[in-house]
Order: sequence, then C-alpha cells, then structure tokens
Amino acid sequence: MPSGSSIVENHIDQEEYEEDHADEERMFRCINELLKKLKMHLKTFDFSVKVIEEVRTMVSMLSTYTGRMAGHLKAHLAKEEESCLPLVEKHLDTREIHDLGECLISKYICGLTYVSSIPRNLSRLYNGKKKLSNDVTNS
Amino acid sequence: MSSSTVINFEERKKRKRNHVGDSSSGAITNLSDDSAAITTNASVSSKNIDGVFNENSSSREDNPMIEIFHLHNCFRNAIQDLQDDCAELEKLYDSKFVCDEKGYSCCDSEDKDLTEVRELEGTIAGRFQVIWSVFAAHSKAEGMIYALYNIFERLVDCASLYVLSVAYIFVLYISMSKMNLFGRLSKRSLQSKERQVKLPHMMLTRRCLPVAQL
Repeated sequence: MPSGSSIVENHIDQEEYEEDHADEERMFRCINELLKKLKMHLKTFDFSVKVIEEVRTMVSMLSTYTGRMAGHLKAHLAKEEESCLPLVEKHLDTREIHDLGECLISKYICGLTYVSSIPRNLSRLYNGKKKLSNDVTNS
Repeated sequence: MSSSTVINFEERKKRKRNHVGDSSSGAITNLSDDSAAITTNASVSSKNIDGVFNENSSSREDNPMIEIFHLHNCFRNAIQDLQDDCAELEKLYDSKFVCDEKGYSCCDSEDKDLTEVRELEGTIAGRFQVIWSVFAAHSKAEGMIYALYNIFERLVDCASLYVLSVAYIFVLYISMSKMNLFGRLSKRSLQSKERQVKLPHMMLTRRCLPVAQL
C-alpha cells in the first residue's frame, strides 16, 4: 500500500491549487472590468463610428477571455474529479458522506459558524476511522 | 445588410433553450423532466464517474458522489452557456453594427438592434456573476483543506488521507450551499424583472441535490 503522503503529493499539490485559484481570480476580475466597460459603452451608445468600433473590440475581447477562462475552469473541475473524488470514495462510505453533508449543510444554512463545526466533525469521524486505518496499515 | 446575415433574436433564444438538452453541449439533459434519470454524456464526466465508483457502490444513483458530479456538471453547463453567449454576442454585434469603407455606420432599426445587444450583454453579466460567486466560494473553501491538513499532519498517513477526504466533502457542500443561496436571490430577481436569465441554479433546484431542498 502506498504511503498516504506520497498519494497526497501526487494528487493534491497545494501550490498548484493556489496558482490555479490565483489565475482564476485574475481572469474573473479582468472579465468583470471588461463587462463594466462594455455596459457603460452600451448605455451611452451614440452610434458613432468610434463607439461602434470600441464596442466591437470589447465584445471580441470578451469572447476571447471567456473562452480562456472556460478552459481553465473546466480543467479545474476535471482535476478535482480525477484527484480528489477518488480519495473521498476510498475513505468514506455512503452513510458517512450523507451524515456529514446533512450536518454541515444544516449548520451552514442555519447561520452558525461552520469553522467551529469542522474540528468536531473531523474529530468524531477521525476517531471512528482511526482504528480501521491502523488495521489497514498493519495488515 | 443582407437579411440572411441578420440573426433572428427569437430563433437564437430558441436555440439556446434547446441547447440545454443538446447531448453535445453538456452533461445534464432533459431538464424539463424531474423524474428522468440524469444522463452524463460529456466524455470526461462519464469517464470519471465510471472511474471513481468502486465495486461497493450498488449503483450510481445510490452513491452520494453522484451529487458532486451533478454539481460539477451544472458548473460545466453554466460555463459553456457563458462561453456560447459571448460568442453569440460577438456574432450578433458584427451582424448588426457594421461600418463601410467610408466609415459610416449603417445599422438597420438602430434602437431595436441595440436593445438586443444590451439584452444579451445583461444575460452574460448575470451568468458571469453567478459563476464567479460560486467559484470564489469554492476556492476559498478549498483553501481550508490545507489548513485542516496542517492540523493533522502529524497523524499517520492513512488518517491524514482520510482527513483530507472529509475536508474535500466539506468544501463541496459549502459550494453547494453557496449556490443555493445565490439561487434564492436570483429567483427573486427573476420574478421582479421581465428579462429572464437562465441561471445554473435552475438546474440544481430541479435535480436531486439535497441542498436544493433546504
């Protein structure tokens, strides 16, 4: 059985995720600015050649940027499905996932701070799994 | 401007509605039928769903992981719709607003043309804000994985992996909750405005995601 650390390193690279998130944020902000400018131009549209061409450029840029961002986000989702979800599937059973989900959602929706609930849930689940994990390791 | 080059706006909207059920464009089909089985046709999604379910899973529908894939597919559809709308905006604009060699604009029924462009721009802006909000929440929550992992870094490897798995589930449910909150807000705005924007939450609320029932 491969060690847990090596699996984590192979499948979930913190720096890589942080870079992905930073790239996403940059893309979102860039498109957001572009949309603001486009809205402003359309609001004050005077049918002059200058404005028509400016808007045309913005629309073209919007299409290009959105295409790039879409590719990035889809790759992000695919990466999660390929690297993270198998871990969840491997280490949690159906009932645990449902129980945890219900617990977290009810706390979150009810407005209670979810931060305080994390250690308690993890601790409870961890204690239940610790013996099993050790058994697997020893075997 | 030739009539053949002009995009009929109603036809375009009709195509967009049909696009949701187009097997080549997304993973969730036939949204009008709530009881229908959810089909996954995107090659990546289908492959991943098959790959992630182990032999202990009695069926896809019994496995809670299917909900996460549904959520991801909702994201994919929303992203694809945004991308398609931007491409259509470019096409629409080019067909409506042209300049001849002398630099004069020659637009037919200018007000109507501009209204169509503005309407599509508004749809794009709405889609973009929803997607940005959901991904921002998702990314923020995902960062918690590493904070949690650091807490348990001295544990045995298997346990650490387990903690990581739990954390990931947590991240996904936060994202789903966030999605639902935005869905509620959007519903109100849809009721108060004539302009209707197809938002990804509508797919969620018609599916079996537990968060959508809360």
